[in-house]
Amino acid sequence: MKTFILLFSAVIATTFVSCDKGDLEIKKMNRGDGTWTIESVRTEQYDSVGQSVINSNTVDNAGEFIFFRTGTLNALFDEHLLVVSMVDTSGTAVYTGGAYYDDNRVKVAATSPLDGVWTVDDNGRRKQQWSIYEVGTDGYLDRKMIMVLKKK
Amino acid sequence: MKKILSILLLSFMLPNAVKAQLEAIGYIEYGYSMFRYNSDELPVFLNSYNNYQPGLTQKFETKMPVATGDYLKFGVGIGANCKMILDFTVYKMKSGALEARFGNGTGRDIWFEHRCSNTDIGIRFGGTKEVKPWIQFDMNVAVQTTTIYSAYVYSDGSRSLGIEKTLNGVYSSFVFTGGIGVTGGYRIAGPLGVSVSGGYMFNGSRKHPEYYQFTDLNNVKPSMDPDYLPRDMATYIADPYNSGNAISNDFRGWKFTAGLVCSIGNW
Repeated sequence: MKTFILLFSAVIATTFVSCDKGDLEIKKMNRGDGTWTIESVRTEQYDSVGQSVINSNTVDNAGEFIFFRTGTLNALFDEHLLVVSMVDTSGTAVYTGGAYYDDNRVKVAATSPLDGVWTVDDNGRRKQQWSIYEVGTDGYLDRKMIMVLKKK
Repeated sequence: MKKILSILLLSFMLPNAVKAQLEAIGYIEYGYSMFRYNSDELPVFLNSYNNYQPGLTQKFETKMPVATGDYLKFGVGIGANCKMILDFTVYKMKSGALEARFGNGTGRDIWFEHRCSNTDIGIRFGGTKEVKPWIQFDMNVAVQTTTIYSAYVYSDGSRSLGIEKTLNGVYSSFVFTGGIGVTGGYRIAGPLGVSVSGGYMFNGSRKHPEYYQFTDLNNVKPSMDPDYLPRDMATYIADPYNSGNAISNDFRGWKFTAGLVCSIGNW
């Protein structure tokens, strides 16, 4: 009987955990103090038909993201509080806003240079890679950014 | 249905009446799972996409790819030579991609993920201390979530789920479903055994597809963006807010598993 109760409890717990998938995903980002270092940001500029890279540059140690457990006013859209700090030669700029994260996509909405909907290429617990694409009015790829993040 | 239940109950009671020494069993099972599914709705979208994009050098195939993954099962049972079994299984399976390409290497990839929480009730014969093999017949009810990933592919091969291209998204729908199946197993040594199973998952939602449309909640999109995959691309472009043009979750098909069983307590 004890075995039965233990197994039954495990089943119920598993069912509830698997139902609450959305909450699990953002927990990957905000666990601990929720800080992720931006290890590098690579920007690629494409030619007029979006085929070849004509210019690229990489910025290392570009800043950090801090993901909070707290929801924003956009809680209906599963947004959680986010702080983005970006470092450049003139100092550190700090932006606050919200983030939605579902293991496949991240929406950064913090009025920062990194705002937009990123595709999560690698959704590791310690290291992640995100990409974002900009296309012109002709539909061709103009610019691509690849960002590598590391859990602090 | 009543007839089936009566037969199941009788076949459970008769062997146990001969040998009335009841025992309880518990087990955990983990292994490989495969879902060979069909859909009538998705090919409608794929064909429409193929016809709408005249520049495609490689069109979407409309044959559904197989999804594979793993599963975790917890089970309990009670009986003698024949046991009544109740088990719960969580499956997660992902398919390979269906691909459409233009001449310059860009195009669209579509792939699927199936998450299923399954409750089986069944009857098991064998699997005792004396009889190592067992066979189990079961019926199940399940909550099945199917997710369609629709990504634009750039010429360097990278996939984008971002909002810069129409149709990009992660579209989900869950259905209450059920099925029947049969499992065979064998005790290897100590608490360990192996099992294989096969079964068919039905999809009752096909009667009311309007309740089970695939949607991508507007968590990443501007809130008025269309959030569905269309039945007809031309209508989608001309009238994007016509959600009656959306495809629904009618995925159903054969599910197979092979796994390792570890008993808890008695066999």
